[in-house]
Amino acid sequence: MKHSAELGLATVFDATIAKKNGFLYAIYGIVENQATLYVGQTRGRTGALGRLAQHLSDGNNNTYLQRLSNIYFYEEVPLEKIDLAAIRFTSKEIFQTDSQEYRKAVEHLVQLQLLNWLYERNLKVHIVSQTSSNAYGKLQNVQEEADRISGLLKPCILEFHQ
Amino acid sequence: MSIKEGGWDAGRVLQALGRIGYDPVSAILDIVDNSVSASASSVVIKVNTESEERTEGQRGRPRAILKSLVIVDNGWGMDEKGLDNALTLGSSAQLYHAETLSKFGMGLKSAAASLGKQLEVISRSENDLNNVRKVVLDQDLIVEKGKYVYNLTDPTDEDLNELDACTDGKSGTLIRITKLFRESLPPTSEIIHGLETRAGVIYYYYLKGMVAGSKCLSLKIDDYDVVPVDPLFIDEIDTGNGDLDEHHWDGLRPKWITKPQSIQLDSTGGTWAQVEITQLPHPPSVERKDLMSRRDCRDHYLIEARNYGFYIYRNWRLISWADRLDFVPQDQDLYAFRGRLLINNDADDILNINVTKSRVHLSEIAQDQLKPEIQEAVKKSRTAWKTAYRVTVESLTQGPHDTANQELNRISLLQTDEDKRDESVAPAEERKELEKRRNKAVRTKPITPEDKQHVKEAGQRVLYVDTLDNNQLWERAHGPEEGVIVRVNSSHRFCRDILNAVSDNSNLLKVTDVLFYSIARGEYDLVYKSEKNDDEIEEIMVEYRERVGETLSDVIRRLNLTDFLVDV
Repeated sequence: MKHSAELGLATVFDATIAKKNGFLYAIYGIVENQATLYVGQTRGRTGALGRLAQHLSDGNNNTYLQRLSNIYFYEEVPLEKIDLAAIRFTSKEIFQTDSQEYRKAVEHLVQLQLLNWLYERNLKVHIVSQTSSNAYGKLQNVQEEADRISGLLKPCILEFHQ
Repeated sequence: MSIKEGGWDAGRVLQALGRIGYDPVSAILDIVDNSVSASASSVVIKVNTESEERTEGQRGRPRAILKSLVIVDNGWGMDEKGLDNALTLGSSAQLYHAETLSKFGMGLKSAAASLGKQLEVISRSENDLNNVRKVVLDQDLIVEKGKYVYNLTDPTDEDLNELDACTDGKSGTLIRITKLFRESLPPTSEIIHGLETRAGVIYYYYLKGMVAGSKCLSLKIDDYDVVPVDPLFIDEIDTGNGDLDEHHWDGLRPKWITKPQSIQLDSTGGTWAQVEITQLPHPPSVERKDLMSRRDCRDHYLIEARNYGFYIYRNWRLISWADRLDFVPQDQDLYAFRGRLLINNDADDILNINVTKSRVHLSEIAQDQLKPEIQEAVKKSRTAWKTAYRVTVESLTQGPHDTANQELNRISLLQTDEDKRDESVAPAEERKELEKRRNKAVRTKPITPEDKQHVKEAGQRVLYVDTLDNNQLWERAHGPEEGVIVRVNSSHRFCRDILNAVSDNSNLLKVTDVLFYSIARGEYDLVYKSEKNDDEIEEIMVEYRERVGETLSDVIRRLNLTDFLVDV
């Protein structure tokens, strides 16, 4: 079966994906048959879609492409297909303020949970994002949010990976 | 073009193999690995000594000197083909099972060659219980013949008795190393002590029977039964409240820093390691609580300079002891830091495992994944150690925060008194307004009963709390009697990454406390004494604190703290 990109097909089904909102997102991409995953968070004016555009652009904020380029030694990354799953943070203030610290704490916990899950499921998907922990990772509401989001991301990743 | 066969000197190669970096203990335990790989449930190591030969006229008592080293097991044993394979340099990997402790098929020969000139292998195979076979590999004979040769011979009665003492007439193997290099080997007692202290950690999972598909291992060193020792002491961590809270740790029990976590070792996402990190108790705190003496605590938890860092297990067998992996700095405050990496042989090439299986070199991907996790863990461990130290030592003496708080409390009482006086002499209308604003300021930010107690008992004006809303670094609070206090967010990067790093500088800590108090006091004065709308001021101050909190976090995130703060 052809990738959607080969068919010239791109789909988005959530109208709020480009709105200013706290999002935790996962970019699933394939480069030369290697499945990769990038976990990130944003609360930019253009939402998760805007952040995805940055990741895939030639600008300075294309961290996803930079990571692929560094890890797999590409000058131009031959991305075959990508999928994006973006989960809106709950409306709790700590996730919707300008302070990134709580969203970053969730981002790190989600990445760790996904690593454990990929290992248990024996899925060959290389996580290329770099996250770091901070002290807010111990807060119960941060942990609950990470559980909720990784629970939503896992079936999406399974679907992307099929 | 023609292909020519290169020459090699078997004697010199074997000698060189014995010099690839084994210490006697790791050489003996490398041979034990073969027993474990052969599914043995019982392994006995014997360090045999004999009386030193005396020359005429020599004074003093004869010393006990090393005679032979014997490793005997009840594994599946070897037939003739198996023995040939065992003595082949680079023995075939086909005879190993998937999770073997072997790697290059060199261990037996090279480990034995590091200990002595003669290696005897006596074995009864589970496929042929009626025959016991013996081969002898002798470096002198190899040198004499100029070839890699060994003798197939009949076992002696002594061989059979020694084998059967462990195997009870069933399958098993006895390895004996003789013609020992006595001049270069350490004293016998040192070898035995090394074996006794290391074997329990090295074979922890096998001794506990935790390795799937392997029998629970019994290992003896002469008459000493080796007990399993988990260098992370995970069994002693409370199941309910086991996570390390580095700011309030009492130092009494082991805690989790990082619970078991999978990490990827290569860029395919197919090679994995498991990492876990714990914090061991703080001996002075344990002693202070009369739980055990400082020394017993250090002995029990193996707390000493050479034991902190990462314990790397390959196929459930330790291959690297307290490796600092370039991420754990040399620091006495990290003596209680214990990490573990669990890998299997899939990771051998990525981690560059050497012949003695005692050194690993992390791949770039593994470093990428581990570095932030370990650096954070190191920070937590160091802070926890200092916290425990502070609790122990500063309960006996006064710490910098106590000194600062005493002074600030004195000043705060004076300031409150001055405010009252100023208010009392103000014109009636203004006095009324001031009183209203003061009461409102106090009501808006009330102190908690705990805060009250801290002020009452210790005059605490600057309180380091677990966390504050929306990543604020500080917030003020008031009591009608107590006046202004300031709460500081211990979870904020400024406290965790900056203040903790300079916590040895007591003057700096005092200055910081003064600054926090003054910021809160200034904020209170603004709400209380300004002529501007106090509700708006409060709103602006909340936003201001949140913005300062985030800006400061952002700046600290972007700082390269290792270079910025010396000795971080």
